[in-house]
Amino acid sequence: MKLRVPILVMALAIGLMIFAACATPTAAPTSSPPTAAATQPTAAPQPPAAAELKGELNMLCTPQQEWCDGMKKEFEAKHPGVTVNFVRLSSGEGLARLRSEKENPQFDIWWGGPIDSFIAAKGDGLLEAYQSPNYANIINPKLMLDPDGNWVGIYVGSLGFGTNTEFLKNNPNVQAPTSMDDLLKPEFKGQIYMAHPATSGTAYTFVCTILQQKGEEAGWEYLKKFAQNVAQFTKSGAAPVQSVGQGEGALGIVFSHDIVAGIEKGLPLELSFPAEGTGYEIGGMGLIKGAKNMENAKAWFDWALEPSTQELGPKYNAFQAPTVKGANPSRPELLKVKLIDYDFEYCGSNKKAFVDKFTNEIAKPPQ
Amino acid sequence: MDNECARVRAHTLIMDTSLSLAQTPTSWRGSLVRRIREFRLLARDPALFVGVLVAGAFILAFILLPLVRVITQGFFTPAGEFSLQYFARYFEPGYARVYWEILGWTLQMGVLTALGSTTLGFIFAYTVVRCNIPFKGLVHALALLPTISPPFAIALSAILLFGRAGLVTRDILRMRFGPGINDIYGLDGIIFCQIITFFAIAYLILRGLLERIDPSMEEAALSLGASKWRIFRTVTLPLLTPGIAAAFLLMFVESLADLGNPILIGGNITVLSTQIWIAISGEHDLQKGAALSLVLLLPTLTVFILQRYWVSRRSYIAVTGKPTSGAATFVKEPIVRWTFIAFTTLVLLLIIALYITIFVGSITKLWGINNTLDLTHYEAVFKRGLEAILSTTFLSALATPLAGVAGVVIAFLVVRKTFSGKEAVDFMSNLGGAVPGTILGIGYILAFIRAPMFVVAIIYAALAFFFISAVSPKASLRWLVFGVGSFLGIAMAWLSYDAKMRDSVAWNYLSGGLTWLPTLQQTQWLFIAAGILSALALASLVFVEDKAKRRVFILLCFMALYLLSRELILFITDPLAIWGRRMGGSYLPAVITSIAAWINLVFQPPLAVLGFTYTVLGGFIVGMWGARTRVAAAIFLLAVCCALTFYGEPLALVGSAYIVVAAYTVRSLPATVRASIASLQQIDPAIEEASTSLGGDAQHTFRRVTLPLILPAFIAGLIFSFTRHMTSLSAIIFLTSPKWPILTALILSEVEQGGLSLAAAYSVVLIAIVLTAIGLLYFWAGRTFRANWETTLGGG
Repeated sequence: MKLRVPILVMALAIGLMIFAACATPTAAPTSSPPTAAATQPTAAPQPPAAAELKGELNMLCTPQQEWCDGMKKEFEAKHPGVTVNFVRLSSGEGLARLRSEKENPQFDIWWGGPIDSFIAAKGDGLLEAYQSPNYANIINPKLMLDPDGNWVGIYVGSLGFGTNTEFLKNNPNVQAPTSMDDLLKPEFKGQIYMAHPATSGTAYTFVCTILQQKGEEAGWEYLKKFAQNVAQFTKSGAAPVQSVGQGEGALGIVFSHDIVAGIEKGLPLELSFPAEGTGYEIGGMGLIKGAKNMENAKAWFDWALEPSTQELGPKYNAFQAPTVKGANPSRPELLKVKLIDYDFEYCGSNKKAFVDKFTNEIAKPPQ
Repeated sequence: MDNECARVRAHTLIMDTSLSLAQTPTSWRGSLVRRIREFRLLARDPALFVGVLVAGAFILAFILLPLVRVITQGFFTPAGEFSLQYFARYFEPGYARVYWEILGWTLQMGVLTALGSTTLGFIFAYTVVRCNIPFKGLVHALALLPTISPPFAIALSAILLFGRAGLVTRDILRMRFGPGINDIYGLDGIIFCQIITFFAIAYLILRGLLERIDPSMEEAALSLGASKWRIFRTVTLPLLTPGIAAAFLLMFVESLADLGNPILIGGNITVLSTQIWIAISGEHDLQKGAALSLVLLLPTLTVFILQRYWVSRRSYIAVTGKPTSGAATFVKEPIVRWTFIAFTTLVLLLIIALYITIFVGSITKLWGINNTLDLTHYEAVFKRGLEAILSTTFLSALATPLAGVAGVVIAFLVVRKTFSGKEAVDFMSNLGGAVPGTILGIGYILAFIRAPMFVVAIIYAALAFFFISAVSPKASLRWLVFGVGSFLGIAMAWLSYDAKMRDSVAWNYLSGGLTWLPTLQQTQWLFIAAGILSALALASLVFVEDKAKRRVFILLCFMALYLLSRELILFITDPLAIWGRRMGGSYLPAVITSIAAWINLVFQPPLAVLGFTYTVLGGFIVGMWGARTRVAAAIFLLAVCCALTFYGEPLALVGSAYIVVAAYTVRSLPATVRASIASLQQIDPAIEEASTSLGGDAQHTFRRVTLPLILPAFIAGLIFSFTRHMTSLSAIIFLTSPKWPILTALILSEVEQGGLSLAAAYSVVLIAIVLTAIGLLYFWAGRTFRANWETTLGGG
């Protein structure tokens, strides 16, 4: 007789569970995204997509941690039903992760990072084509938009030199470099910090800029000499700002917006550009093929191409220039320097070969 | 006690010889028959059988499989063609110089670090044990500090103090770094940091040995008229040699495996571990990474085997597990004594300085540029890193009892039980923690990116063997249940496969008739499975004998409910997460969403693991089922278990938190196994035999007799495990996912992005968490932990 009560309770519980589950069959969030339901227009006054979004968004983020984190919070504030998870990986690492996870993608969207990585990712079939309604906003679609809609540019930045002002004070006869050839001067021997092109898009932009400016043969010769002056190849592109700012080195080759961010933080840095022209990057964004939260990823994608979104950068110490009409650049002077006619197709398609050559022939330790 | 240990050892030795005899080719067939018979015999003791099966399955899936995948991957291109491309690079003119240079640096680093840290460890041990240093406890605690800090903490403060813009180098010594001036970056810097980081382990090993040396030996030499130096040279040192050799080899391996220090302070020196890391994360070349891993694995494995089978057999000291009682001998010569004490004190001061630097660095605005007090770094840590802090702590804590329980079970099996493959279990359980973490991490990616069907099938077959052993004494009935149950299960699992998966599954031909089955959504599928379990539960009310009715019914209901809960829990956690995000503020949303994710994690284990667990539980249920309907019930139950096991992509764990938990567990397993073995060997088996002869089965004896006796070692193992989880980097760096950020990996990224001060603040937080955890466990465990802390580390 004693057995009755627990049995009844159990049976009741199971019955309730089954009832609850049957009554709300579409509400189970891990089942495939509710496609039809989500796109149906509703009578509610607000735009339907914003109201319906739910679940997660897993983002591969390549710009600085602070910006990634800030954008995550901005997006979550707009869509409270969505949790944005992100990992910050340098562009090389990110591409590696996407390749290794091709069978079972863990990310939904890749936000930020130079577009040559996106060109490579497209070549490997890692990206999903998408026609965003906001493509109309893009300033220069020829340069900043993939013809198939696999990726789009979200920011622009020019390459610059950051010199430690303490170093300049202590060495009065040394000036901040104003040309690529200045980097080969003996006073910078063992003082230059740059990332390694294998892991960093920043460093690869520098390498490819040199190869375009000087031609491949003379370019490699230059890089060989240049490597003799390098103190350390870091992993992340913006890392030299910290090292040089702290005084571990005298000169860092970094994107100018990162140098500005360092100066804003109080690091003793002076920004200069090569007078003969400098390389630049376009930061890209793309949807991952096979993304598990495609609806949310598309929402982010559209949102990232809105002018108001692109003006959020400076709030999080990101001074990259926007790519959409109607958004005001926070530091217009960074793009008013002389820019080379950077060939993204050339740099993207030769990336593996150039990085291999650099790794095995150039980036040897001095002596 | 000594006799007992000798007995255990002798027993082990006999076991070994009998095993190796059995492995000779002449008796191959005989041994196979013998093993199958033994397997059957094992099945008579269900608890032991399950223990062996689960331990074996865990080792197979999470140690053996990843390592095998790494080793084979090195020989195959991504397209699957056999290629020796990367091994050949050691002989290709274009590459050979760089490759050999890196190998040379790696070995140089290993040998010098091992030499340095063993020497330092010996000096510390000698000072503490023999020189009667004041504040012994404090010295001990400070020496252990590096073992509980993140792997690059020392490198971080070394840069702050001795870097090109370091406090000592620039501001005190006024050094200016230009070409030709040696700075902290490079091989010397790595070796310095590694010595400070690792010497504590050498110290613990040698201290344990020094304490155990019987003073009567040295007293005998003294009374025979030998000088102190002569005694040290001819008595003490030879007794210590095995320990010194063990410490040296261990330090060598630790140094080679280290990733944090070479990354941070290596400058332009690349060693194998960083080369592998760049190959994977920079050049996205899994084959290259795997090939180089094999190169790194060779010296590591050699040392591991040397240590296990050569050094440990040459121990001259009877391991009693306890310090010898009686008066310890102290060095009386003041010069010798004070030299040792002075040196130790100096090194301790250096360690203190390094740690104070980390702390001061974390509260300075910009180290060396703007030295005003500033707490914004901590604000940034809690703003940006709170999720990483929470998830790392949670996953480490989750893996800690797993490692502890797995360690005790394996140790118990190894010390007390006799079965084939025992030596292999012991060896493999240690191997997972001994290989460099990078290798294990790569192995995990390779093994678990897609479903490792082969291994899942093996584990399922082994567990199903246990399941059917309870069905009937008749072999034909047993195999009937296995065959029909598994077929139904696979048919049910097919309902979950999409077209791509259906194409790739190897048993396509077997289930050719199933292709017409539709693909179901997870929710529907789970309700079907839970429905069958509920039906079985209701049936149990009729068909199970009264005695076991209640137990079977509740167990089956629980199984059904838990299966459903993975869907139903979302009705709680989703609104919780949304509510949390609406809270506003910097901290609350992260905390609440993390809690929601933790709840989900507990209720949503990988279905394959659930399938394995249910198969074992099912074995017990079937054993209690009434004889008349037992076969039918067994078929349905096995079908559900099998279906769960093969649902979707079983064990495709990359990206989930479980893979991190598994990696943590494997990394700290050797320590818990060693600690438990050491304390088990001190317990007289007669106590357990008494329990058995009084009628207790294996499980009862283990729970009621053995476990309480080894509890202190168990807790010490837990402390060590948690520390190791929190601070591990190399095994985890490839496994972090957006949802489960890991603190050590985040620190590494922040060093480059946010600067040294921010990284220092993260490190301080991490150290504080570890210290709090140790304090809590210490508080809980009372004073028992201190004595066993050493056996744990020394053995691991």
